[in-house]
Amino acid sequence: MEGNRHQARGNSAHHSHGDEKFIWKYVFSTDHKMIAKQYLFTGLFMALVGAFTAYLMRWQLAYPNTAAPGWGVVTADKFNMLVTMHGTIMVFFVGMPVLVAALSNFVIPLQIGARDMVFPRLNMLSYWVFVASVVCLLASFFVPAGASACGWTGYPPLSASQEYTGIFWGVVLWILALALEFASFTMGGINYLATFMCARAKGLTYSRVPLATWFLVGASLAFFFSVGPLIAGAIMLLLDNVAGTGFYLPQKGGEPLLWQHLFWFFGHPEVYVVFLPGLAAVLEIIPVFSRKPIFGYRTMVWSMAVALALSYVVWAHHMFISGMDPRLAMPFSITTILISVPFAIIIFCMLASLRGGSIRLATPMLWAVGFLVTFLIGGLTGIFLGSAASNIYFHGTYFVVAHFHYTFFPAVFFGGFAAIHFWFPKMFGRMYSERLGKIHFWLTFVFFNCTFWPIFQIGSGGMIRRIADPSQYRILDQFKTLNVFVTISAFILIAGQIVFVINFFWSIFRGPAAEANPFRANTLEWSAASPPPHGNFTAAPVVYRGPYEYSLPDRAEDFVPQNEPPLAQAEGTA
Amino acid sequence: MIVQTAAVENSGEISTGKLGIWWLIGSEIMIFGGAIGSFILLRLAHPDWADNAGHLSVPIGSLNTLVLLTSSYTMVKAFENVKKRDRKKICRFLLATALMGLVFLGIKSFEYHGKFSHGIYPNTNLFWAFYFTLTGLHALHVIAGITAILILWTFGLRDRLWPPAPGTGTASPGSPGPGIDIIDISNFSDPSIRGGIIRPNVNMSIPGPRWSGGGRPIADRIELVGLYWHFVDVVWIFLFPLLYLTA
Repeated sequence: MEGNRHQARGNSAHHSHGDEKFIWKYVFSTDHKMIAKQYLFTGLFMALVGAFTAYLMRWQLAYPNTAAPGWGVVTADKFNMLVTMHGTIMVFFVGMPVLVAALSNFVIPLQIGARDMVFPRLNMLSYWVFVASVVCLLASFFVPAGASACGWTGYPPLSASQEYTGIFWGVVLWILALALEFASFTMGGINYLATFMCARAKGLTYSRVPLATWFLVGASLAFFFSVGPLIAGAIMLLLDNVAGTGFYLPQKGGEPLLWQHLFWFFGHPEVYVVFLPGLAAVLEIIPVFSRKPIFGYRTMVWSMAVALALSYVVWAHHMFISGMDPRLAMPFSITTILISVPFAIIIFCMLASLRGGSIRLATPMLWAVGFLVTFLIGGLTGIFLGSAASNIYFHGTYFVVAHFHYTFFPAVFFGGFAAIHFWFPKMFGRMYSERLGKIHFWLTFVFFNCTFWPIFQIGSGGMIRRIADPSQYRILDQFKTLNVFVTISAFILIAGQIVFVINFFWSIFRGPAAEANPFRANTLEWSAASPPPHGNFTAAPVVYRGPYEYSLPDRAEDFVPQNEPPLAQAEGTA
Repeated sequence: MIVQTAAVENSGEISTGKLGIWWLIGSEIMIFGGAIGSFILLRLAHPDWADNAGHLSVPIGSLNTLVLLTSSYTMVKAFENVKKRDRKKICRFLLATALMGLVFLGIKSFEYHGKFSHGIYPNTNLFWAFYFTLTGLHALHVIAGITAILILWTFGLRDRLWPPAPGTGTASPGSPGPGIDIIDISNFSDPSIRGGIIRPNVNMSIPGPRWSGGGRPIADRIELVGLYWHFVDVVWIFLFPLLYLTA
């Protein structure tokens, strides 16, 4: 595979990396594409760990206090640990590396026509700091008293003092893992933003940048300006644990709500950090598979900007019942409802882009449409939680669980699988199996909905989050069958991912070779070889047009790559 | 649609290094903003913390402020001499800056020692928790700044700030002055740039036989470190009145 990669490169006379040592090529690589793959594989591995925690929790909820195969009885304290680690892993160690890091690393330089990131070694460092973070988190399972059990949000006082959960090392390692992750993604963010600003190809103005790059940059921005206060908060939480300070401990004069404010000031933009890259992939796929220009390019970029700005002033909608000043509920309800406007605009623009197109439901497009459908449900149920009046009833129930799985799952997995399939030929130089891809999509789509849709009902019926044994509450007896149904669906959902694993690895090694532009798309990454060699492009690309010029009436082909020079007469009429 | 041929808006106007430092400072502002903001909110709710703040010595704090502000001045002088290409003066001013940073840390340690000897620790109460956290976090940044300055100082001592003679050597022959860093990544015809592929260099921060970083002379980094150093200075200008002068 590596051999043809270098054959494809034309003017590689002045450097030869064919004989590059394994360690520099695959381990300490500074090539943005290799780093993207490293992030991707690390994230997918962590998804297995996250899925295992989900399996154990669902087993306990359907068949309380029976031995789960492969583990044993899930006791109440272990259940708390599983809840905590499932959230932490899925958001920070699957969503972030797969969507933010892997996608940004792979897509941004290729789409803007750069040879690499502007700080390649910083890029390598950011990945290895992330690895350290993963090691910290996984190690926390094996320290005395086990991993943190304070919830993925780490609310004090539970997380601030050992006396509440009996866990010291688990919490310290959890904080350290997050700190390292934040350091890693700050380095990554600096890199993506600087690359985007400085290394665009000639002619690639801001209004010609593909939407995927715009939305990935937006995700980095959202992360960049929200994570700082949480880093400060995490330092204080760490000191509470190791130095005996009392920032968050009421008995020492501290304020537990301070953490909630710092956490959610980051936590809400973080939703968009994970969501925007998913959206980025979908926005790139829709015009390609409906052979139409995207509808409302500028509108969507500006909507994203407005949503980002608003995302910094909505955080307290996570705290309506926390005991904060109730007078804050109204302004935060209003900003929360407001933020649905730019996202509604984006969704409508996507629907308008689909309308009247020659839609081809290949695997990436299936994931993209699946994303639209499922995320819409997540977005609409968010309105119930965003307005304080109904939030007080729903908060802390499984309704919230269903809601954020309907937002995160489409973003991370529907968006992620859309991206993986769409850029698979570019990433690995081979085609995935369309048949396995479709089987995998339908399995995931059907059983995702079977898993999470009933949870809305269970939640509005009054099942509280994070309870380890529903059989202790008589009011929950009515949901016993439904809980078993959800659990079985979840198991099939997890098992269905085996199809993806088979497709993924079989295609990497045995898939048919991919041509440079198998989907006949316009953006610059498709003008490079599949997979692109070191340095990506054989000659500096020059951009002459916007990214979504499909089905132009005066052209024989139904697409016009961005780097195709204009025809003399086309220039006059356009 | 009008075809624009040279339309990358900002390439060449700002170096990637400077952009990176500004983004770094942006993220640091958010970190200190979160910590200082938390302190201000709790401080407003606790007028009684004035008693604790009274234990801090304003003269010593003022002296430290003076030292740090002066070090920013010498940092600017070092940068000024980059333009004049005066290597000796650059080294002198860099060393002066680093030494003043060390004096600042020394005075800070003296203050810490005084508190410890009076039985005041981070866990004494919330005010002291904030005091030690904020000043400690700031001190870590001072240490980082001093380290960076001393690295540049060793580059200066060994005459590695510029390529041996301007326009020759290994630093991008034929490249125009500003915007060289862009060429590092996206110019496809420059054979000196190893094709934008940076081989992992094990001696990353050790001055080796490298005359340039990313196509720019090492001397340019004095401005970048200077920006960071001023930022560290500005943080102290917030911390000093908030902690010392609110008694």
